[in-house]
Order: sequence, then structure tokens, then C-alpha cells
Amino acid sequence: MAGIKIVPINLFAQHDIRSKFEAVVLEMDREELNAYWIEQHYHGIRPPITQKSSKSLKAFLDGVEGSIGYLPKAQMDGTLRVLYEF
Amino acid sequence: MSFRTKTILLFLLTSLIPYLLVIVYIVHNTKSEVVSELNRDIDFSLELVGERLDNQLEVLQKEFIFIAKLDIMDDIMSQDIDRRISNLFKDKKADMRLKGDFFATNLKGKVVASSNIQAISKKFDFNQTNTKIFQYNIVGSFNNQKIGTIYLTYHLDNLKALLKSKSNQMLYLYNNQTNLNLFKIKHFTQSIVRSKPIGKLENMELFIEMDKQQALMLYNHFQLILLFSLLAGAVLISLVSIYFASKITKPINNLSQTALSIASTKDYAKRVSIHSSDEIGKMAKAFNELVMSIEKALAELEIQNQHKLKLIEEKSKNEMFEVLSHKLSKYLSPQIYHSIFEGQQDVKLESKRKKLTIFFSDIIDFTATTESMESEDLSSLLNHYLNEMSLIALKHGATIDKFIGDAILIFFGDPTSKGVKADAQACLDMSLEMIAKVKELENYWLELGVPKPFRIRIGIHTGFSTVGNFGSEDRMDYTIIGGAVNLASRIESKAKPNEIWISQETYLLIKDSIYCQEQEAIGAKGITQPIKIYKVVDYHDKLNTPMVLDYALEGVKIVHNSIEIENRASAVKSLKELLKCIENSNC
Repeated sequence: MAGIKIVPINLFAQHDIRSKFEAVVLEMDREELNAYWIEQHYHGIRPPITQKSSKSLKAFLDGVEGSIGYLPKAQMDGTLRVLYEF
Repeated sequence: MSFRTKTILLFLLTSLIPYLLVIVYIVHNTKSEVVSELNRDIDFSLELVGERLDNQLEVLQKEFIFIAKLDIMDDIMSQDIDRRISNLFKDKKADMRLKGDFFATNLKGKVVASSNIQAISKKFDFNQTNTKIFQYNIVGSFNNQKIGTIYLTYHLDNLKALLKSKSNQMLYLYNNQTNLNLFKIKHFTQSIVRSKPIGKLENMELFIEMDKQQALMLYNHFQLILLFSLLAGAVLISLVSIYFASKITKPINNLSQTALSIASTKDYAKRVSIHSSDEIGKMAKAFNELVMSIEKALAELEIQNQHKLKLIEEKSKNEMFEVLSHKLSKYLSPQIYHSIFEGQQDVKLESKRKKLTIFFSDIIDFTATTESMESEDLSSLLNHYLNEMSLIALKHGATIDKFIGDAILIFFGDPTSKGVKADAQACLDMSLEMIAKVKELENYWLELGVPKPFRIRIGIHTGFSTVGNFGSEDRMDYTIIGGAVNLASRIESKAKPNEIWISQETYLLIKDSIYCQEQEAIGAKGITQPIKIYKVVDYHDKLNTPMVLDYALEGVKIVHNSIEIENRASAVKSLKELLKCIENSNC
């Protein structure tokens, strides 16, 4: 998607799906991720924005072009493009 | 105006005028100053409150902007399904105790989140009264692009806490667009109003309104107090000034009353009683000393006056006496007069025998000479003659006994005497001068119309007479009587015109100085022996005639008349014999 900024979106830290995503997709635990983002902070890179619920995450994905996140399968309604399933 | 009144007025003026001036100044200037001060206070309060308002709004704005910038605002993109923004808004609203709401709208202007749930999914309502709307663009943290707008409808009631009014002061806001007041709770009859725009609130002004009456109440009370104190002060000052004026003037009045009393009653024994050691006391003391000195001076003056009065009385008595005596003296011979007044001669009937040289004169043929004259002329002529003769007589110390018409009786030897010889000499000197005078006056009298010149004759005798006061106790005359007097008169009657005839007794006394020629002896009644008479010629000196010399030694007396010596040889022989006789003691 050339010319479109990617907007990663995370779920709320305590969300199960996020924990699964971090473990499965990112293959990093929370500590590693925190350490990673602390380091990135000094480079001026901020961690992805978070949404509290998958519902709101879905709405965000629907509204923001270039946004990318993870949702439960059940919430998929065909308006979003699936990039990966885990 | 009395001194007391002046003192009271002075007290009042010097005390009250500055007081009044202060009060007038205070009353006049203070009110405007008070109002100015009030204005300044209000302005200060305005500043303060305005600042607080601005600060509050600024803080709010910062908070608002802070909220707007939170990452949570990204939830706008998710329509705030999780109500994170709304909850945040609610929390903030609660925290800030806001009257108003937060709103977050998406790009379409639809409210996606709000502290007011009712407003969600609606368009944001910009019509809000008495509300300040804060507005800020929400920028997505993920794309740095506007994703929506955050609003805060801040009701101005939130500012009420900062606009606390008091009983005499109101703080309120005024919308100069709607001309509406916000928070104005009452109306003052008279007020001081000050205002200031609030920077953070468009079209709003902050007003502070102060109840003027109440604000100036203290000032008015102060005025009343001043006025009251002025009155009280005036009364007090008046009383004090009256008291002190009386205190000062009382001794002065006392002094003046004493002075007036002394002046009216002439009682210089009075004194003023002031017993103080101040200037009034000194004045009183000085006054008393003055009165005392006046009293003394008057007493002395009185004594002197009495003394002078006595002297004047005596003097006037003496003067009167002198005048009288001077008048009386005309009727007495000066010597008699002086002897009486000098106490040598007493005025009583008494006489004494003395050897006197007696002088008689008269004018030959006076009656015949003057019968053709008018009596006034005669009187004048006679007086003139007698006056001239009197002058000569007095000059020689004669005692003029009396004038008997044209005749004059004079004697020498009483009351004063220079000695028998000298008296006789004086009588002769006088007589010669009289004769000379008469001759001198001849031409004068001729011019007066006297047909014939006066010629007088003079008779002089020296002998014992009785001299003294003769007559009665009430009317006496100081004169001489006796044979000697008669003889002198007799001799005078025999004298030729302008000649002086003298008796031998007189001749013997004066022959040394005056040349006389013996005349034929005359007889006198009662005198058996013929009386030798001499005619007075003149002074030996004038005649160049040798003197008749008397040589008197003890037991020897030689009388020598060189003219009458007929036989000089015989005289010499006689004298030689006498000498031998004396030498041999056999005379």
C-alpha cells in the first residue's frame, strides 16, 4: 500500500487477544516488548495506539485507512482485509 | 472691646481657626480622596478578580488542551465505542466540578464522546447562553492529522465562586453584546461602579459595584465625629478661654479699680492686693510702690506747702507791713522811723536829754513872695523846695523833726549820733549845701514863674534838749523841746537872707573847718547873758584862710586864729611867758 501510512493498533494491555498476539505473532513477552518500546521511545517512535475492546478496535480499523490490528475471527465482517490469522 | 473679650476672642481664634481649617480641608478634600481611594481599591479588586478569572480560564484552557492531546482521543476514530473518552470527560468534569460538558466530535461534527451522554451522536450545539465554549482540534497521535474537535461548554456559573459579593459590594459579569448582567444580585441606590474587560471571556466585562452610602459611611461618621468634636472643642476652648481671660483680667480690673478709687477719694493709703509672682503680681507691686511714693511725696508737698503758705502769709504780712510802714515813714524822720522799726526806740511817751545840734530855717518873706501865686503852683513849689532840702538833710544824716509851712526844724544827735562835734559839723555841711542849693534853684523857680527867688535863713545852736515822744498815748510826736530849741529859733530869726547864723557853742565845734564871723550878740527870753552869734562864711579850704587852730595837750589848750591876731609880737611874747611858766611849774 504505497503512500499510505501504516497505523498499527493494539488492544488494551490486559486483553487476552493481545497477549496471544504478542506471544504468537510478535513472539515477545511483555517485558521484552516494554523494553523494546522504551528503547524506541528514545528514537522518537511511539508504541501503537491501543483500543480497549476489539469492538472499538474493529471500528478504528474501519475508520482509519492504513490501520492494522488484530481481532477475533468472529468480528470479521468482510469490510477488513485479513493479513494473518493466528 | 474689653481686654477680657479680646483675650477670649484671641483664644478662640488661635485655637479654633486651625481646627476649622483642618476640618474644612478634611471635609472638602477627604471625600474626594476617599472616593478616589475607594476607586483604587475597587480597581485593585477588579485586577485581582480579573486576574483570578483569567487564571482560572487559562488553567482550564491548559487542562482542556492537555485533554485534547491525550492519546485516548484517538478513540474518536472508534466512535469512542469503549466510552473511554466519555468516561474521561465525566471524570474530568467531576474532578473540576464543572458546570458544563466536554464534547468530542468527529470530522463530521457528530459528537462521539461527551460527559453528557445525551449529547452523543448529535451535532454539537454552539448556542449556549452564559457559556464559554472552549474548542480544540484533536490530532490523531497515529497520523498527526485532525481527527476531530474537542469542546468544553464552560458555564459562567463556574466563575461564581470568584465573584463573591458582600453586603456593600457586588461582583458580576456583564455581557456587552446582550447587555445582560450575570450574578448581579441587588441594586444600590448610590454606587461606585468600576469595570474591566476579561481577556479570556469575549464580550464580557467584570464589574465591581460598591454601595456608595455604605462605603462612605465611615467617612460620614468621621465627619460627624469631627463636627461634634469641633463643637465640643469650641465649647471647651470657649470655657477655658473665658476662665483664663477672667484669671488674667481680674487682677488687672482690681488694679484699675484701686487706681480709680485712689484718684476719686485721694486716699493714697490704699493698696492693691494681688499676691502672685507673675508679671501681674510684679505690676501690682510696682503700682503699690508708686502709690506709696506718691503718698510720701504728697505728704512732703503738703508740709512744704504749709510752710510756704506760712512764709507767703508772713511775707504778705511783712510786705503789707512794709508798704504801710513805708507809707508811714513819710511822716517820720528816717532816723526815727528806723530806730522804731529796729527796736531801738519804743513807741511810748518817754524822753531823754541829749546834746543836740538844732537847725531852724525858713524862707524869708515867703508869704509876700508867694501870695500872688496860685495855690497849686505854691504847693508844688513848696514841696519841691522842701523835698530838695529834705534830700540834703537826709544825706547828712539829719533828723527832720517837722515842716512848719516853709520852716524846717532839724536836729542832729538823736536818734543816732556821731558825736557832738561831728553832729555839729554835719549840720553845718548840710546848711551850706542847702544855701547853695537854693541859689542853684533860683533860675529854675524864675522859669516857673516865681516872681522873686527864694531866700532862706538858717539858725543853728548846739545844746542839751529833751528829745523823745511827746503828746498822748494815742497820738504822739517825736520831737525836741527845751531852751536850746528856742535859742536856735531865735538865732534863725535874726539871720539875714541866705545866711547861716550859729551860736557860740556850735561855732566852737566847727571853727576848725568853717570860717565864721562873729556878729553882734543877741538877747533871748529867759537868758540873762547876751548870746554870741557867728555868721558862717565858708569852709577854710575854700576861702584859703588859715585855720583857727586848737592845740590841746593835757592841761594846756591853745586857740589860735592867725587872722585875728592883731599884735603878733605881743602874742609871741605872751606865749613865751606861758612856756616859761609851764617849764618852771609856777603858773
